[in-house]
Amino acid sequence: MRLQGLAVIVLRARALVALVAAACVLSVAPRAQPSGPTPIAANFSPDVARLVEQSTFGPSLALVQHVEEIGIDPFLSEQLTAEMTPYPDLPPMPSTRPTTCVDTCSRDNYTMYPLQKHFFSNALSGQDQLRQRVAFTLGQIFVVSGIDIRLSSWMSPYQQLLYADAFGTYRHLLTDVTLSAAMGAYLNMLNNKKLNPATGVKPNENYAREVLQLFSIGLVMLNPDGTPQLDADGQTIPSYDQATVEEFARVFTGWILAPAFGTGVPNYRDPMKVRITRGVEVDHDDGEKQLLLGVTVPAGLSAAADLEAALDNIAGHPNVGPFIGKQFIQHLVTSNPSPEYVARISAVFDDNGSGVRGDLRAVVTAILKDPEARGDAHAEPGYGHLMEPALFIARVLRAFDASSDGVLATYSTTMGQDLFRPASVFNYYPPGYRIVGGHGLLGPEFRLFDSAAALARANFVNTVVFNGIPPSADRPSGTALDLSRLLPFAPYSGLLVDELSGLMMHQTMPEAMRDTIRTAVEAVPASSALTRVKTAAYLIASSSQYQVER
Amino acid sequence: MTLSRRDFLLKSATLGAAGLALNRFGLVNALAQSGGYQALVCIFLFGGNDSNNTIVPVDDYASYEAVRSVASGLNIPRDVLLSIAPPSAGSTFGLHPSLAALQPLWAQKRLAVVCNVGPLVEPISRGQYLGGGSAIPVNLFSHSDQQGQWQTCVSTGPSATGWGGRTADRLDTSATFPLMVTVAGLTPFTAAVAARPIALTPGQAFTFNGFTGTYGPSRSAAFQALLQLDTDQQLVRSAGETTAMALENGKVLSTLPPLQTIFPATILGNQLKEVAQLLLLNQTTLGLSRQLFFCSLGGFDTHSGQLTTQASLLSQLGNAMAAFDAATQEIGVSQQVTTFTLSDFARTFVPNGNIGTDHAWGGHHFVMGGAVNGGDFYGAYPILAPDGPDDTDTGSGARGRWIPTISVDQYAATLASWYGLGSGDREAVFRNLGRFDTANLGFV
Repeated sequence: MRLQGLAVIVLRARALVALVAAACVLSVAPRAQPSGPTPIAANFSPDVARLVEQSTFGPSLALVQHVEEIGIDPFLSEQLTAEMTPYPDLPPMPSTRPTTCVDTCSRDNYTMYPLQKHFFSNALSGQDQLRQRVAFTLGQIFVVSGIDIRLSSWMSPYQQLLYADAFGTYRHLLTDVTLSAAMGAYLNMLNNKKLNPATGVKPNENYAREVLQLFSIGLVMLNPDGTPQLDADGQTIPSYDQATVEEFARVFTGWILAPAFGTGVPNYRDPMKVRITRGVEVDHDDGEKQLLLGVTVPAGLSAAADLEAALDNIAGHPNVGPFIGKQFIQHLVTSNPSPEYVARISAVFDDNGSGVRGDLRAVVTAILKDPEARGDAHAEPGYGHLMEPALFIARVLRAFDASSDGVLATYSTTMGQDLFRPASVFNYYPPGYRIVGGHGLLGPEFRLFDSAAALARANFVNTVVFNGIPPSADRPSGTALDLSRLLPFAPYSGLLVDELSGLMMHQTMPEAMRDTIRTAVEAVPASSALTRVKTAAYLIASSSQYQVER
Repeated sequence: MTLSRRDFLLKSATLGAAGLALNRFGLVNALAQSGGYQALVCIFLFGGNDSNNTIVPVDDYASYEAVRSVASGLNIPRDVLLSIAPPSAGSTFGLHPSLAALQPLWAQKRLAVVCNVGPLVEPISRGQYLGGGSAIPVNLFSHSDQQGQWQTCVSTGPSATGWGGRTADRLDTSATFPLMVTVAGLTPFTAAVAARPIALTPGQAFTFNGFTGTYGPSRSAAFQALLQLDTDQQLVRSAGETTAMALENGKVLSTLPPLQTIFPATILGNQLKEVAQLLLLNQTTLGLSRQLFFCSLGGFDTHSGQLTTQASLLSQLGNAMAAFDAATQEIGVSQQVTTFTLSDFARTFVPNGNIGTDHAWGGHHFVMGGAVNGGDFYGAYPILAPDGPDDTDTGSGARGRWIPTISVDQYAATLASWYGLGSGDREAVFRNLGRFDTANLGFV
């Protein structure tokens, strides 16, 4: 029952097409062998291949075969319970790099290198693929940047947190994020103090503003379907104002780092704690505060109680479902979900069916199983999304069973995505970014797709397909594709392209594209089998048709 | 000549690489604009630069020190300020000490300061602001919104185009090379209806690899052909157009001409070096009559540890700008190139408890170049008093968020007018300009 009737027919039809294609090759290339290799990916269920594209860092032959065997629901269950491959526990280091810490010491402790390496290694071979995709999404909503959180041992616990909370509740995640040392330092809830009457300095507004604008409810009141609510004059309705920010700024006062590991070695591993001097929460503003939706927090509460009340207030706001849910859809499935799709996900966010609000496991499952996500192909002009650089790199490598040390971050950086180091808390791209000349269509990842990035993407594909990335000082083993499986297809350009289309594009390669690539493949003599395979792989992976995952 | 850039792109895409190169230079001659050359260079200071510590009153240091005291952690001592004396202000001010490289340019009248600029829907007094009856920019104090408003000159809601892009739409008659160049990625500033910016990564070769050798040409031909397909899929089409633009301009950009001027090896230094090399390339090869560049420097969102962070950033800014000014003189275009700063907003005059500042509104900006009427302030420096006549805030909690007295529209329109935007086009590009008394502030 893993395939529905229609899919089986489509599958058979594709096999027929492949046979006809093989026959065509024979007619123009009489010296080719009379029978070709057996297609595998060309016969995949397109919908299953699409699910793997949406829920992992990319289809490999073995993984799609696995999902075809067990079916979509069991695969999702498998993923939701897969053992986590956590980011490494890195040794705490002094904030200031000791002069003796150079070369690999500096690289491993004072740059994002070990985390970037883990990211790609795990994306390429980790079993917890869906958790990784969700954590990567969360990291681009609840942004902490290594530009400010400079030490890998400061960032690692935050990435571990996102992994751990990826399938938990939003409310739980919000607490963990808020109290994490990395976020505290990044958006200045750390060491935030109540008004100092002597100097006149005020509570810091940074976390208060961004937790509202970016991590929870956004700037304007939303309908459950993600569209903005409008007032009688047709204007959007602000979801908070400057006064609200100042009230929340007072909530987020009083917190400091957990006890240091040593002099000059701060503790970024443990959650922040309240600063207490002689039994008094000296930095916390315990006055009354006006929060969202008319909620008032009374005076006299502890910092922890104030925080609980404030995070309840935020997480309970009706905007959270559509605001967070739509971004999840954009990261996993399509930049332009229909309002109905967003509304269905908002409903799951509001109640997972068991009365639990903000159950991210249920939200992710619903997003992937939604009718707007499933199906063999979607023809709507704005459907799908441009693969962001890290996803693009991983997908190309996974398609060809690459062996890799995971040292790939320089490539994503040239494409505009310096992993763990976005320019600001606004991430690499805004969810509302509209593609140029696209009649209002959204394409968040297109913010990174400028001419320099287009060049970098094509050159990355050229590098990995034709040359591989050799080992070097920072690259223990380099990266190399394994194209051997495809060599038997090389004499049959049609079969070769169809096999790659099945693996990389769930068989959606248009006919003209197929013809164009076959022509280029056939310009290479059949005796140069590897060059034929590389030519086809290069042209697909470097194409816009492939890089826009649909 | 009616061949549009898009027509050219479509035409050239059907030609082979060799045909393209020949055609390029034929069209350079055919489409080169007559009249003088002019370029605008935008430097966006992302995060919101604290202009309260960038330009500090010296004569009236007391009003500054009353809030930015040594105890506040954000004090710039009076004796380290770099003295400037704008005639129109009638009193002495000081540049942040990290801007030493800019002080000589002020003295040479190549650098002007425009005071208290910010996004506005209409002129607004403090009374009107507090009364709530006047229109104010949407989502005031939000990074993303104010960044957008500085770049689009639309403060009432989202805008699909930026003022750089709209200006380019009216002046870009070139079919040979994009008028707009960004060395800092895609931003609202360069978004346009028709014109498209080309994006370069400073210091990196702009060459598609793998199109040489035995099978390179056939692969290259297929790569190009694929870009023409599936244009009914908007997302695919958009990616394909950008890639086609990179491909089309790759040859002319593959080697940029060297310069004598030494640039600092910083983020902004590298960007402005790339821009200067493109200015030179234009003189030697491209022959455009207008160019528009976008650069940026991030990190100005100094909610904590501001003193050291801002000092470092302003040092980078001043040194890179000064090198760029020297390069324009080396190339011989210093009268034709005007450089200016934009930033999200200025920051609260009253600090927070993390030796930092929070989001505010109006701020001061630099305009540099041989055509600039420099050595002076344009607009009124605000009164540095929390709960004072320029503050949005009231009462004892007031933090000094200055209400702009010059709109971004006026600032931008002044630059665009110098750039050659006619008055009719000016009204179209800056649709809100008519609400303000002065369309041209006269600083360039």
